[in-house]
Parts: sequence; structure tokens; C-alpha cells
Amino acid sequence: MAEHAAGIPEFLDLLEHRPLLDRLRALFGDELQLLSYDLLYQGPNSQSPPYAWHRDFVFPGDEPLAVNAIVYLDDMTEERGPTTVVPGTHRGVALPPRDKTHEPLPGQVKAYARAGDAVLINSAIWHSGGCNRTGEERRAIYAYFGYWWLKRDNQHADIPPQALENANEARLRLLGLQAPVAGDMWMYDPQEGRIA
Amino acid sequence: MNRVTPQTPLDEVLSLFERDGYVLMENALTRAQVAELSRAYDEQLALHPPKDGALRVEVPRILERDRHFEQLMDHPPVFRVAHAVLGYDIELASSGELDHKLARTPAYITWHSDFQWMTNVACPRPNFWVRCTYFIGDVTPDGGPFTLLPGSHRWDYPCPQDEPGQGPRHIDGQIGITGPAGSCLINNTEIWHTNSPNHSDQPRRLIMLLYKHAWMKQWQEGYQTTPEFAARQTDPLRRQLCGLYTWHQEADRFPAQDWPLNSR
Repeated sequence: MAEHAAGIPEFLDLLEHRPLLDRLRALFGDELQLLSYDLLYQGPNSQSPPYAWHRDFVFPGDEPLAVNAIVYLDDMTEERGPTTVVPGTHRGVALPPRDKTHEPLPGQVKAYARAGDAVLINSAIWHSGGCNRTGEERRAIYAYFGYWWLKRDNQHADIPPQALENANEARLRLLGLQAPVAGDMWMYDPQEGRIA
Repeated sequence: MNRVTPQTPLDEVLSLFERDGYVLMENALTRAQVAELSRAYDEQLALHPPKDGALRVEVPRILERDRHFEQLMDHPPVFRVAHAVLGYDIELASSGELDHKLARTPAYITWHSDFQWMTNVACPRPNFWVRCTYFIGDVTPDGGPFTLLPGSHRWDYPCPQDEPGQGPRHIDGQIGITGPAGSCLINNTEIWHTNSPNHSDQPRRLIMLLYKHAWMKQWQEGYQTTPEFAARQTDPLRRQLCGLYTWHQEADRFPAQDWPLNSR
């Protein structure tokens, strides 16, 4: 919905909200980068399909290279269309079956989150948003994080200038504007903590 | 050594690549192509003479310096392998390098893998980069060949470092990749690799290309493709290789999805 939610003060603050940030740093350490930041919105009585299965990109393995963090502003009941995943699919390279893009899949798990909850998912897992069949809104904040050496989701778009005002080093890193190391990243020596 | 040719079935090439982390494709370039590239190579050397005491001449962004090099970015016999390994989200990881190792020089780098700095992602890691190294002259055993350890890209521990100042140590099973001009070494850059001294009277003449997934940043520090180079590309595939497609939103529209792997 929004081109980049970091241009709005309340959402900018949320990026540095410790309960969220601490858990992401536990995964990525100082190499954490925000890859995209958007608002998810569906109006009442949506006519969209119940599922839209996809994986954000393919890299097999248990260790995530990128994580979707979805913060819900409304209770995700069955009728509001909770986020759904198929556990274990991040370990393979297969894409969700194209002929079942809009159908329930075996083993799927729905995240019945409440307003104020956040769901973190390995972005390599098969996942789908839901369809809002209530008479109310379906609102969530969608932040996408990964390692600093990944491209931002839309690398051609500018970061909102509001996010850069008085930005400290930690925020510049988070926004992908400053690498954790100086110089040539491919010559970084992890033992020395510097460029070889 | 895993020697293949452009006529080797792709499945066979990929099987060797997955098992050992490399293949050497002989006759990747025709004699006429080698001759053209060799002329362009010499022109670049004339513009970038070796500095006093240098062990080699490195010219980054070589794809952008001459149309003969530019054509290598999607040279079918080699590109189809890189494409098949990485997938439809393939992009250039840099604008290529000319790597000219001078005669009678020691090794200039020791054993390493290109992602040893990636300490937060355990080995064995996904195949992040594929390097395609074109031989512009013959590479002989005493001519400073690219040296690698087959299968090491699949091991669950990182490449141990050499002693400082000692040069690359000998590791049982290592292979120096030798072959005639026109060959191309295609390797997973997670494989442990180094170079070796050039004891011959001839320089070792290479052009290196690197490919990656669209979701990774390019190699920076002067190696990345320039916006001007990307902007002048008109072919959809080449525009993709230069990073002009936004990977997340446009993943279903990558032109490489339609590139016929098996018909070339």
C-alpha cells in the first residue's frame, strides 16, 4: 500500500521496537538490513482468492537469509484470512504447485494472530496471505528483513528522506545504506574483523 | 579433471558441477573468437601496463571496455551452464575482469573460498556465485593455473587459512586447471581455490565473469556494472543480467525464464 512505510514516523519507530528488533538481531546480528517495508490492507468483504501461494525466493537450508515480519493491527480470525504457511517447504527448492495456487495445501498451518502480535517467517517457505470475508478491515504492517548483502526489494526506489533525518549508524545499517564493514565486502576477513 | 565441451549434454555437465564444484569446458570459444578477444585483450594491456613489481594486471569492468568482451555476458555454451546452476534469477555479479598473471611470478593469493566472510551462514552454503573464466591463451601446468580442490564446496567447514607470507600450501587432491585457449573454467566460488606460481616465460591470460542470484548485491568497489552500461543494453536478457529487473516484484517476468537451456 505505502511505497515505503519508513517515511511515516510511527512506522519508523516500529522498526526499532526492541521486542521485534532483538529477535531479528538474534538471527542476523549486526548484518540485519530492512529489505522492504509496506502496509497490507484489505477492505471489507474482499473478493480475492482464499490463497495466493508463493515463496519470496529460493535458497534451500534451515538458516534464513531473509525473514518476513508481519505485525497485525487486527485479529486474524478464520474469516479475516490469516497468513498461512506450509512448514518444512523452506528446505527444498520447489515452488508451490502452480495448479494449486489458490487452493489449500496439505500440511498448511494458519497463524491466528491477534492485533499487536507479530509473525516471523523464513521467506523461503511457501506462504500465502488470506482473504478478508468480514465486514471490517484487514490491516497489517509488513517488514521484510535479511542480510546486508541482499538487495533491497526495490533497489531502484529511494529511501524516504524522513528516515534519514538524524539517522545514527545503526539505522543507516538497518536501511542498507551502510555496510557492517568498510571497503571491499568480498575481501572481508571475519577473523580480523577488517578488510584484508 | 572434469573436461566437457559445448556438445556435452547439459545434465552431464550439471552432475559434474554439483559433485565437484567445477567443469572445464574446452572449445567454449572458437578459434576466431579467441583471436578477436586476444586482440581486444592486448589493446587493454596497452592501456593498463603492469606497474613496477606487479605480479599481475587486473582490469575491472572488462565487459564495458570493448564489445568483444561484452558479448561474453550471455555467450551461449557457457551461459547456459551458469543459468542452469543459478536459475532464472541470474544476474552479473560484476562487470568482469581481465586477469593477466605475468611470467615468472609467485602466487598472488592463497587458499580461500569467496564467501568465507559469511560467517553467519553455515557451510555448506547455497551456490551464491558462479565464476566463468575464459582462457585467452593456453594455460599450462607451470603457467600459474587456477587451482582448486574438487568437492570442497560441499564440506561443512570453511577453508583453513594459509600461513601469512608462505604462499598457498599443497593440499592433497588439488588440481591446477589447465587447458587450451578458448576453454572456460566454470566453478562454484564456494570451492576452495587459489592460484599457483607462474614458472613459465608466458603470461597467463584470462577473462573472468561472475554471475549471482538477482537478490544479492553486486560486487562493489569498482567491479559493479555501471548504470551507463546497463542503460545501453537493449536485449531483455542482457538488461536482466545488468540488474534492471526488480527481483521481488518482477520475478515472474525475468526474461531468462524463456531462455532455451537445451536448444543451444
